[in-house]
Amino acid sequence: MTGRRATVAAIGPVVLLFAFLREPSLPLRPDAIGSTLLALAWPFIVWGLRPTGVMARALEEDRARVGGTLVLGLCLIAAWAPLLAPVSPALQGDPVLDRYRPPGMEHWLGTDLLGRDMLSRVIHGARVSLSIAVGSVVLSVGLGTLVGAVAGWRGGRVDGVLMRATDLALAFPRVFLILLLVAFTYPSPQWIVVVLGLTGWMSVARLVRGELRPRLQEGYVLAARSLGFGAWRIFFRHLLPAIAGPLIAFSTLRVGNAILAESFLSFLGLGVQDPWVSWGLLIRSGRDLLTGEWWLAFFPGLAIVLTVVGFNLLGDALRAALDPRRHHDPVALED
Amino acid sequence: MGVFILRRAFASLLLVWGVVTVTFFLAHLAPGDPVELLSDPAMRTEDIEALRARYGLDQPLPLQYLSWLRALVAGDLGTSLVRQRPVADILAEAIPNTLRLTGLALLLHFTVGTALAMAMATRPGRRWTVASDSVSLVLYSLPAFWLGLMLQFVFAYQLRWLPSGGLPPADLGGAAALWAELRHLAMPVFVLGLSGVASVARTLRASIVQVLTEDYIRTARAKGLPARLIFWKHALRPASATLITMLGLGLPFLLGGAVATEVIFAWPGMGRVAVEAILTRDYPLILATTAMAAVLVVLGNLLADIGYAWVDPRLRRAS
Repeated sequence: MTGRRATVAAIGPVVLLFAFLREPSLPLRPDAIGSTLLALAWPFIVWGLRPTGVMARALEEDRARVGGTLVLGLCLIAAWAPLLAPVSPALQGDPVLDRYRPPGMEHWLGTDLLGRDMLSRVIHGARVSLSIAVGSVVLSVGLGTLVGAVAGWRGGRVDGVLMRATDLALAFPRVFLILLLVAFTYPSPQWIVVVLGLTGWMSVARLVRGELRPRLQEGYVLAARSLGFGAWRIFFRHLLPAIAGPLIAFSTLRVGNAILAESFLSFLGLGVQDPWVSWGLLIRSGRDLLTGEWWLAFFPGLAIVLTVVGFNLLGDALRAALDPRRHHDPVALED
Repeated sequence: MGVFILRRAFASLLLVWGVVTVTFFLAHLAPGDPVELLSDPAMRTEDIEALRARYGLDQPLPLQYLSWLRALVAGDLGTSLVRQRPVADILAEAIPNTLRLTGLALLLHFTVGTALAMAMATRPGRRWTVASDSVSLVLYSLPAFWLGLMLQFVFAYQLRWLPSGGLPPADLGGAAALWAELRHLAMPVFVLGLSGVASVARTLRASIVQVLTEDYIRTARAKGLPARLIFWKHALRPASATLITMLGLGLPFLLGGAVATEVIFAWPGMGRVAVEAILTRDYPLILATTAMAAVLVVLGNLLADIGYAWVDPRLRRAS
C-alpha cells in the first residue's frame, strides 16, 4: 500500500520535471503557476489524505479502483493542463501545412482547421467540461439538499408545498427546459452551470427528504432537540453526516450525467463558445468532417466516454458499499 | 381504488397546467421573439410592429396567456409563427415519425434488457456478475450523439451499408419500402436502444438479485422447490415493480427522448420540432411540445402507480 501511495505521490514532481525539461520557464508562466503549486503540494496531499469509511470500503472493489483512477487521472490532467499540453490550445499552425493533419508523431491527435493541436485542446477541454459538470452538480445538490431538508424537517404544509413543487419541476421535459433556459443570455460556461444546476435538484431533494424523515425520530436527534440545539446545528452537525454517504454516491453518478448534458449542449452550439474549449464543442467542430477528418470528433468523444465511465463506476461502487445488505449473498438458483 | 385514481388524475391535470404556465412565461420572458428573429434588418420599424401586432405579441403578457389558455381549452393549439402552419398539422406529421423510432427502441429496451437481466441474475459467480455489470455500465455511459456520429462514419461512410440519416423515400412499395424503412431505422434505433437496454438490464438485475437475498427465497429453496419455480414465481414478481417504474419513465421517452438521435440522423420527429421551436422562439409550437411531453410524464407516473397496486397486493389493501 505504501508503495502505491508513493507512486501516486510522485506524479506531481514528475509532471513538474517533465514541464521543466520541455521548457525551463514553463512552470513559472502566469497561466501555469497554479498547476505548479499543486504539483509541489501533491505529495503532501497524497500523504495526508487516507480513504476512510465508505470510500475505503468501496475501494476494496476493482470497479471502484478503475473508476477512481479514471476520475483522479482526469482531474489531475485538468488541473495540470498547462504543464501537460504540448502547446497552447489556441496556438494556430501554418494555415496550409498544419491544417487538418492526421494523428501522427508530431500531433498525437491531429490538428483542426486552424492547425491547432487537438491533444492540447482535448487536455484543456477537460478543464472546462469537468468544472462545468462538477459546478452544476454542486449547485443542484446544494439546492436539492436545502429543499429536501426543509421539507423533511418542517413536515406538514411546508413539506406538502415543497414536494408538489418538486413534482412540478420533475414533470418538465428536462431537455426542453434546459434549451429554454440556455436561450436567456449569451451562452457562457457560468450560465451552463446555473442552468444544469437549476434543472437537476429535484431528485436530490427527494433523496434527502427520504433519508432524513426516518432519522428525525432517532435518539440522537431527539436528544439534540431536547437540549435546545437549533435546527441548523442539528442538521449540519448530526443529520448531514448521517446522510452524507448516499448523497456523495448520488452526486458522483450525477457528475457523469452532467458531463453528457454539457457536451450535448455544446455540440448543439448552445453551450460553451469558441474561445473556451469543451469536449462537446470539439465534437461539434468535427461533425461535418467525418468523411475525412474523423479524429476531430473521435478523440473528444473518447474523453467523454472515459470520464463518464469513471464517475459512474465510482458512484456505483460507493452506492454498493453503502448498502447495508451487501454481505447477504443471493440464493444460488441451480438444480 | 376509483377515488384514488380520480384524485391522482386531478392532481396530474393541475401538474400539466403548471408546466405549460411556467413554460409560457419562461418562453416569453427569454430575450428575443420570433418576429425579431424572422424579420429582415431592412424592414421598417412600423412594419415589424405591425407584424408583432398581427400575432398578438404586442399585447400585455397576462392577456396573451389568457387568450392562449382559452384556445387550448377549446382544443386549438394555434398556428406556428415560423412555419405558418397549424401546430396540430406539424405534430401530426412529427409524431408518427418519432413513434416509429422510439417505439422500436422501447421494445428493444424491455425485451433485450429483461432477457439480459434474467441471464445476468441467474448466472452464478462474481466474475460474470462484475463483467456483465461493467459492460452495461460502459454502454450506458456512451453519449448518444457521439455514438451516432461514429456509427455514421463506419456504416454510412466507410462501409456504405446504411443511409446516414433521414426518412426512407416515400414512393416505394411493398418489400422495397419495408427494406428501406429497416435500413433507415437501423442506426437510430440502435443508438436509442443501447443505453436503454443497458439501464434496464442493470436496474432489473440489481432488483432480482436483491430479491434473491430475501429469507423467503431461502426458505423456498430449503424446502426443495425447483429453482425454475422459485425464479419465475417468487423472485420475478416483486422484482417486476422496478420494471413498472421503468415503463412509467419510458412513456415520456416515446415522444421526447430522441432529441439527440433525431438531430444526428436528421429524423423529422418531435425532438427536432421541439428544439427548432425553442431556437426560433416559435411560442405556440414550444408550448404544444412541452405540454405533450408533460402529459406523458404525469401519465407515466399515474400508470406506474396503478401498476404497483396491481403487482403488490399490500398496496391495494392500503388504499
